[in-house]
Amino acid sequence: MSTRPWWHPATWLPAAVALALLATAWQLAATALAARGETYLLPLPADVLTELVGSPGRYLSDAWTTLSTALLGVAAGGLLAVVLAVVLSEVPLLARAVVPLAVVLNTTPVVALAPALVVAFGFGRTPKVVVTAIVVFFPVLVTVLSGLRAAPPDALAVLRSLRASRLEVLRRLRLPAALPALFTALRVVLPLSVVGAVVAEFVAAGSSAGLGTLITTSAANYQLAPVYAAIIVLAVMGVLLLGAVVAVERRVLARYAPGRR
Amino acid sequence: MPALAGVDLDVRQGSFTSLIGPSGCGKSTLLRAVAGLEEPDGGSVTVCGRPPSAAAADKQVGLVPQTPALLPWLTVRANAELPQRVNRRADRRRAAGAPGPSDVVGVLREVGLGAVLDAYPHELSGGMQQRVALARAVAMRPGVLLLDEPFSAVDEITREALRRQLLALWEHVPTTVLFVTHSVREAVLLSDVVVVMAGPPGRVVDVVEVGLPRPRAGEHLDERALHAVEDRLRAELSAAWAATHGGPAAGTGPAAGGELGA
Repeated sequence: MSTRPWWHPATWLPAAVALALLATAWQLAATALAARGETYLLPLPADVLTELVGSPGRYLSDAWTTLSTALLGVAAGGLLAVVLAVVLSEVPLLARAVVPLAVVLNTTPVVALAPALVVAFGFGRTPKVVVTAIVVFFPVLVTVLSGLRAAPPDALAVLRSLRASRLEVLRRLRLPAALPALFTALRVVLPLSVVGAVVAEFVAAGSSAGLGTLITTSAANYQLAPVYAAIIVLAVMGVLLLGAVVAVERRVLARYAPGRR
Repeated sequence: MPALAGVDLDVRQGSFTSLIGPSGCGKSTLLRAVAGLEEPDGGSVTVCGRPPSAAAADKQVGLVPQTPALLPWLTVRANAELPQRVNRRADRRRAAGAPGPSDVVGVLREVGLGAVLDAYPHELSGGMQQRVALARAVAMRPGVLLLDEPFSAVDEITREALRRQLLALWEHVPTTVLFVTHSVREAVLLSDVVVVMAGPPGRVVDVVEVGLPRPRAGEHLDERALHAVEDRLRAELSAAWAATHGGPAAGTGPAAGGELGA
């Protein structure tokens, strides 16, 4: 990891320049398209910005709807996954039955389940949270399980030679040793949870709030500026979520896995 | 292939016994069997007259593995106190008769860690970490202290100091020590008895009484007597190696009967 502080120009300048170039290219392309009357291909950046600044309350409110769905899904799916991972790490027979299944489902795009779940759970927030929870569940399960199993064998031998109970081994060694894996999972899963929430909003007919809903309804009416504005808000949301995890991870791992950072 | 075959070994209570032999001869497996971490397919192991699992359940087994195996999120003191924090039932049982665990901080001071009680393992050198592991095992006053090549990952100078500290500790926390090592010199310097092993499958080739006076921590060692024992062990090791792998024993003559021992 670089030792330069984040505010050092060498850290942020390249990305800022790249962003500026991209915005310029967008502006040029959109102007050219507008001159040919093809405004439905790409809105002007200025229009998107106006849209965002013009109704910040709407975007904030929709962002909160999507974010809270995503976070509820992470909480529910993540908690269940961690509990199941602990159970599986303690019952090898069960693990042999469940883990292959989990690995397969982990590589399956479970967002494809979203329409079925909306049918099953009806309207409102529940199906969306369920979709997000499922998206989150398998990566957390697989990663945390491997973390629980990766407890250092010599430390395990010491605790076993003391005849520490399974609960004691779990509490004193396996769970803290699995913390790095938990954070690895969270870094993958938090941005993914936003995808889950948005997709659920896409497919939930009659959904009235959320950035996913805003995107589908605007696109259906050929209003591209709100679509791109919502995408920008989603991108910012993803970055903030990732930043939050990394910040907490640094603090926690400084204590629980020093030297691994 | 079994890891051990035909190991018949009696370790005197209160003695310092080293297990020496080439890699793969089952030294560590034997140690793990004594710790109750490994169930033998046949035969039996007893620790103080009881099966290893019973001894371990009473926290009579102190284990110092090859790596320090400290928990990175605990301070030096908390790491050394770990044995007292788990399996508390054993302490209640023990309170009746045998001496309880000794003062952990006292033992840590004795191995020179008094100044780093509140430090975390990653702030310590490898040798210091291994001393914490040693203190963790000794402070619980185990009936047997099992060390599995505990000094193999540290440099020779640190190793020397660690040996001395181990001997000093052992002098006033009397316990039966079983010490696995690759180093002939280390085995002779530390032990009352050296068990020469060969394999695979692991077997005991010879049991050698070192017979050098104690204390041995100082410099006034009888170097000639020391070398005599070392030479004998080296000869037996190379003969055993040759017997397992075929071909002549490298560098030394036949060693049957230990005629090189003078």
